[in-house]
Amino acid sequence: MNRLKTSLGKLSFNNPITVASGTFGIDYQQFYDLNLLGAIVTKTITPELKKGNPTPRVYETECGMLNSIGLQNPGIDEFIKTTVQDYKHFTNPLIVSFSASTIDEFCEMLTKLEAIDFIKGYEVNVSCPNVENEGLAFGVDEKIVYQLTKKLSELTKKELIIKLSPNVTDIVSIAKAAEEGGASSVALINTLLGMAIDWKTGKSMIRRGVAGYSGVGVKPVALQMVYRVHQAISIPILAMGGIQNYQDCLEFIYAGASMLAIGTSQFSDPTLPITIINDLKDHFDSNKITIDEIKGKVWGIA
Amino acid sequence: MKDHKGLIVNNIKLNDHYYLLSIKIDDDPKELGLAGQFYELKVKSSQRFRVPISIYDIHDNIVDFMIKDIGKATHELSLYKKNDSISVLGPLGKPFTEAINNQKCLLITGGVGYAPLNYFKNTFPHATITWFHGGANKDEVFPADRIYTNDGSEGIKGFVTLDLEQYLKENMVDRILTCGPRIMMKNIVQIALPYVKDIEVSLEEYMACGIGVCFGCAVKIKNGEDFLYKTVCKDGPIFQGSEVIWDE
Repeated sequence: MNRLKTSLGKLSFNNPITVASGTFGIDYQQFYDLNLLGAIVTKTITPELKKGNPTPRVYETECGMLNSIGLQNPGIDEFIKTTVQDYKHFTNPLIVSFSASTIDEFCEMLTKLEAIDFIKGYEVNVSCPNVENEGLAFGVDEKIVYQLTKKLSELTKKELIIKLSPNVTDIVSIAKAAEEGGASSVALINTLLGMAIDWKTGKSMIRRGVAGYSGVGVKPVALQMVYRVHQAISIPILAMGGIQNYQDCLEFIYAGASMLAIGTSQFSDPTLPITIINDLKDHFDSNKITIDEIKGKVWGIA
Repeated sequence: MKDHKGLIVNNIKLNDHYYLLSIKIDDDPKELGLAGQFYELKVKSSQRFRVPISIYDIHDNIVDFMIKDIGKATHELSLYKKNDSISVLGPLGKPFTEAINNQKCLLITGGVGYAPLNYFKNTFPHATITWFHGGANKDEVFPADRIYTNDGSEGIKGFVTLDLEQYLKENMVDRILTCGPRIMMKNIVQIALPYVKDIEVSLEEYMACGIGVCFGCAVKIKNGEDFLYKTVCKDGPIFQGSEVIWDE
């Protein structure tokens, strides 16, 4: 039996491992068969081409990395014509991440994407902190998250994942708003806001100053957010934040995750998602357990 | 390009700042890389980013890297010993354009920028090569036709661009290939472009994935009247100097 089988709201997966939007591209097929992933998540696309932010865009900190890419992408029309076609022949579910600056634009994008049958789900980026006026205003306001999700959920029968920002006062209320709006699942967390300065000169290590912080250092933050959101909502959770090995995955599953995304760690080990899938399989097989049996079963909390 | 399990066969200290790390990679020697390409080396102190290092030379299935001890990761690499294993991802990026026979190539390098041009010179023995090399001081001096040091401790005192224009006025050059500090390459392009159209520069940026996925190592490249960001790791690191927008 496949003990790794899992699902989000409307999609089933052979295993719970996918990749975090932004950290992944078709180039990884040089290292392994991408069909082995539970699902594929593309980089975020926007209504128009985005050139991206000035450099430096990335910097490694003590416990993770900062990035300020600025959602560089060719825009949805070019994406539909070229990029997405690269994923046509994979058998695992393809999830497309997208972002826009108005609710109408989000809806127009979704309508365009609906025409492509091999796209099986959407991850709605309402939280990317890198781009001025784009995404940020949606993800921090529960009323707007509700309105946006409601409109989008009326336009599709496919998996609709709202990706939550951790840079909010109360992520639980935002997650509830997404659920009420009709999201079939939520993804968390997007990057935290961070910064790095050269102490010798005072110069910012990132051209835009404030950047997105990811990697091992964000894991405890992500874990508590997954735990609290899982306590409050009944739709499934796609969890991410500093996952480096299968043990990290188990922690997130105990906190309430149904699915897990590997992000920053791929940069030092491109085949890490596959290593983690194999390690998880060994763990579940040797302990004769399934994901559903331990999901959300963290204990020892009084 | 693969994620190889490499074996360190030598790690020689060249001076207080530079060392030569030789890594045996079990793959077809023809697949190990071309002049201008690089590898991303995995060090234990850096769990997320690998260190991008240009190929200095390749013989049989051993890839040599000339490395400057400049930060935490490059210092750690300097301590690796013979028979240590190391994960090396590569070869990555686009190489320098091949040199045709008797082509007059002027190589201009600064500091550790020497490395990729050393492999270029060894790869194209039938090209006519003249090499200017500059460094801060004599610890940064390696064999070349003209040596410049900022402090005058060896060769000519001054930057490597000191008498470049004079040289180009007096000598016919088909191509310039350069690697070194950004400001050096910017000045070379400015000085040399009226004389030599083909100037290949090898760029550097903070880098994460190394394979063109994350768009971290972006550089601003001319696109008609406009510009776009290309990646050092996949579109580069070699670009035409005339295409680069040097203001960032």
